[in-house]
Amino acid sequence: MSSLKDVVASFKRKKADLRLIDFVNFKFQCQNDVLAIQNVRDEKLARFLQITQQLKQTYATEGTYSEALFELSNEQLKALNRIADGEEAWITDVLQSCARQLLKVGQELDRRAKEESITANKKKKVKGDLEEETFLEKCVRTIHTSFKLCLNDRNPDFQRNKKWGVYYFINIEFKIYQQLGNRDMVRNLVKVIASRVSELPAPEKALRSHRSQLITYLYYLGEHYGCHEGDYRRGFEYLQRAWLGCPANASQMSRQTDKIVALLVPFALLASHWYPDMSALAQYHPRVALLYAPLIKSVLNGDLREFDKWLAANEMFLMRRNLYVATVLIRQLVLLKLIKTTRAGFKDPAASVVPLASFVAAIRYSAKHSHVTHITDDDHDETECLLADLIARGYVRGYLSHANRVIVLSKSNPFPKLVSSPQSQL
Amino acid sequence: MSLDEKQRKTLEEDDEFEDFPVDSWPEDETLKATTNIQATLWQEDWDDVEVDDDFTKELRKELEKHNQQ
Repeated sequence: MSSLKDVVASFKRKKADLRLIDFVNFKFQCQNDVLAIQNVRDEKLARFLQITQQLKQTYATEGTYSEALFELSNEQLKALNRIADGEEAWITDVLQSCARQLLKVGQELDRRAKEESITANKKKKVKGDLEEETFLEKCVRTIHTSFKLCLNDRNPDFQRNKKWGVYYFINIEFKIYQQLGNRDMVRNLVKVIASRVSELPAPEKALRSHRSQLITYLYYLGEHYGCHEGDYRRGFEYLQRAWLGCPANASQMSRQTDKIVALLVPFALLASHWYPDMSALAQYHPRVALLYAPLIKSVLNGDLREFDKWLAANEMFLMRRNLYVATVLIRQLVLLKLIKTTRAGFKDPAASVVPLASFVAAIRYSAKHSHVTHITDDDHDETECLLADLIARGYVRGYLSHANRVIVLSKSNPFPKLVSSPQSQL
Repeated sequence: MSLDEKQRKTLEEDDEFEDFPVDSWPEDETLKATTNIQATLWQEDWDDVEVDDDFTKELRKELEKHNQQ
């Protein structure tokens, strides 16, 4: 059992040692030495010690996560925030332990409240009151204060600046906003980080001895840019950094890496028209390979019906992972492949003026797998729309002549390659 | 449930990203340091790959009927 004197000594030595980290944890008891607190002259420190002791007592008597425990955990972090304002980088580890503890209590209480409301709703209708603030919403305000005091530390000694701890709190906030389903707050946070990037240490450096957190940080950013901003290139870059930083140990290459690679594959296709070698993918990420095998197959052969079947079968999963938009965009790549294959089969594959009829037939056959007997005006219109889309995206160079029902392809390089490859960005 | 389905279920289980259970690992134990996966996984020029599967053959047959070029 640690004593308060030891804890005060850690504060004086400015060291986030195990004694101090254990003291923050309400599950560990500490001698309740009232005199020791009275002897602490620093009011902020005395307040922190007192709250923490109260917190430990509450847990010891109640033995469960209660609302009182949440309030005290929240007060504990507030008290530590006040101390941290005047301290240097060393304090960020203590702050982080404290914030994670608060997060855990908040998550557990929200989970319970949700369960209770589900059972309660079955018995009686909802009251119609305004929704009560969740515990996570309450605690994120205190955690945001920790984030800000790290971000805005003006200590000129960079090594001792609390900016080194900023990523701890970004990750916690990402996690909370994710659970609250609050995309606006994620967007705000990403904007803040982007605007201050030149002042911050690189995440790879700051989280050198917390690689697990580094991966989480890079994952959240990649997910945000790709799934929510449609910026697949940037999404790809963050996720590729996350993926390559994962431990190679096979037992650890599990859920986390699968999740990263499940985003990486569609982003690579959209950002650079890169596709995975299926045997390499199956070797390292068999589950992801299984998921995407039909998609990659149709991207390679231009089979729209197989693609549409795959999309319909995986709709719910793709929606939940915010991948639906990305995969719908991949349909254009399937279409592009179909157009190229069709053109390659022409008697004169280099002809630049191409009647739409062949493309109409190809698209209809690919989408339905049944013989095309009769081509209507509507079919022509639909094909024109699809081709216009490909031209607009820069996948095809040329123009459409609606009156003549032809597409005029650029004589040089009608299907341009994307300029840079993802590898060159690293 | 087939093995395939089971694998799929594992992938779909939870949507939230959890931290790795271990806090950290040395840099020389990362995928980047221990494998060449980055170079072997990604294939370029997907649209130049010649595919000769059933679908492509059937498509060609179908197009021959329409092909005026």
